[in-house]
Amino acid sequence: MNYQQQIINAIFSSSNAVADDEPSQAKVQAALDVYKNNYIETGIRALEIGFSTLHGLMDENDFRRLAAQYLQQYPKTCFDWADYGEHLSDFILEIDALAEQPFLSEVADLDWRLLHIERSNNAPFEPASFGLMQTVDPNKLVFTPAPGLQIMQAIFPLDVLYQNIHNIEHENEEVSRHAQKNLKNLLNDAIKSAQYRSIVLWREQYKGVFEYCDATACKAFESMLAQDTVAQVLGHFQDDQDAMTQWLQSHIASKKIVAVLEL
Amino acid sequence: MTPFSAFSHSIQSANQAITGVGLRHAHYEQALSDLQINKDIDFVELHAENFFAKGGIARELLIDISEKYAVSIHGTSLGLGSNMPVPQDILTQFAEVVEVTQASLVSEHLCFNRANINNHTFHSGDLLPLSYNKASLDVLSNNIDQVQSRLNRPILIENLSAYLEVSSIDDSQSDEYSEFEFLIALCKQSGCGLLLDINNLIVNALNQKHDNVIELISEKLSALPANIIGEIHLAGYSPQQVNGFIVDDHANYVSQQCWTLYQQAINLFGSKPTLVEWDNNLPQWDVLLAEAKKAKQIVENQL
Repeated sequence: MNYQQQIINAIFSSSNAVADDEPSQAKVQAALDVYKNNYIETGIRALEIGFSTLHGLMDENDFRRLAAQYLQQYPKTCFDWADYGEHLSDFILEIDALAEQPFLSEVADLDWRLLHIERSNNAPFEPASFGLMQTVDPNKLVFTPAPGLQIMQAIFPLDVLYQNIHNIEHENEEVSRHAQKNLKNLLNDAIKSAQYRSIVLWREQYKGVFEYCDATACKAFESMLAQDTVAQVLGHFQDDQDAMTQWLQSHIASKKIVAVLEL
Repeated sequence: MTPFSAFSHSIQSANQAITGVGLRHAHYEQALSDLQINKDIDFVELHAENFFAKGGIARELLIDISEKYAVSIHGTSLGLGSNMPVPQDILTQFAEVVEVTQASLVSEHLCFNRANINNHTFHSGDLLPLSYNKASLDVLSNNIDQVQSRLNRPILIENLSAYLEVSSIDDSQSDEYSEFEFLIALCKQSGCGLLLDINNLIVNALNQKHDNVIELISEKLSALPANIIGEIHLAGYSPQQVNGFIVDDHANYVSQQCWTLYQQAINLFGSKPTLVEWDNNLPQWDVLLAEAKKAKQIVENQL
């Protein structure tokens, strides 16, 4: 190994890189430990920012311990810290100490997706383009989805967990206790049912947002993401004209669909 | 293009005091407001990597900031001393940030940050020290050339704070140059300029346990040619040590040693665009701007 490989290896290694039984070598190890510490502390800060819901739901020391373990197990291989953390949701499932909070893995998955939705390419909203649906064969049109639009499946009530961390400031303790009790019930129900529900995620203005959607709407979104034609996407509603119209109108209004293009 | 046309966009420094501050997330709102004190600064420095997102609010902020201020783009992740070129996609992201902001200054560090181990390239996320020898000079020059060709302009390279001498890890890597000899040779070979970070010199001298830090650094400064210096960084550091080292954390007021040496630097080199860095334990926006104003007064008193 050349010196650059040796230093990098020392930063990512869990054991000492040099024998520190001599004072001069102890000083080298102490210096390497400064870099190792910088890596861990910078990484923890980056994960706190990228996984803000997860961070908010966890005890601070537990989060730091999880992040430090993850940083050791998954060395940084990307230039930008914003691209680091892809495997955190899977990693959480391997940590026995977190088994009592089984929702954390799904929360981490949600955070990761929202972060990248917020950073994805812009796609301008073009309301006039929807006029094409009146004049052009829908077999020759495709929808343009909102930046980062995607579907995920989740068992746990991610909407309530997310709101608890980011939105709600309870006015009094009674309301807060009620919300906590309700959340516990929702989490217990989710564990009992083990039923996956579909969530659509997209970017509204600058912020990554999400909502639950039913099976037909989910299929229509997946079809749109597969770049199927407008006719194929709307075909998922079969003869239910009202459901199709409502899906289309509401998702254009919420800018999940930002334009229609001719093939 | 001359090496220093990088500074000619909107920052001219020959006979005027040009000062700015590092702009971090917590201060965006105040920096973009109509506060009277915002007129006290001539430019802001942005870390390129904070704006690598392809879309969303980061890109909008970048445009808003560059409409209000002259911008210096400071890279922290290119690791130009690494024994490998910068990937094209990363260079493209970097170049886009420079282009969108019409950056007045562009800078990176005298460091490496990544290495290939078992066919994986691991990134330290840190600024790691180089050996000051011909091999390092050639690697750096090639990588700087790659960046300068892509940007079609020269960049500045910042001297590093380091906790380790490379020769202590690998005794085949003994230095052939002093730090400043190396920087001067690098500027000559690659056509880049020098971003002189006075705080980094102080942190290094303190960690090397020199008896008289001011005297040591003054002597070093007097060996630098003024024409290679394109920008000066000022900062402070936390007094508490980690493993016996003072860490270059930019978490405090500019130190008194730094002000003293800055005054000497201005005496030696004349006015240079000067930036106050404060990255951790951030102060109020007006406190940060007051530090930049102090730097401006030092220059104005000497012009």
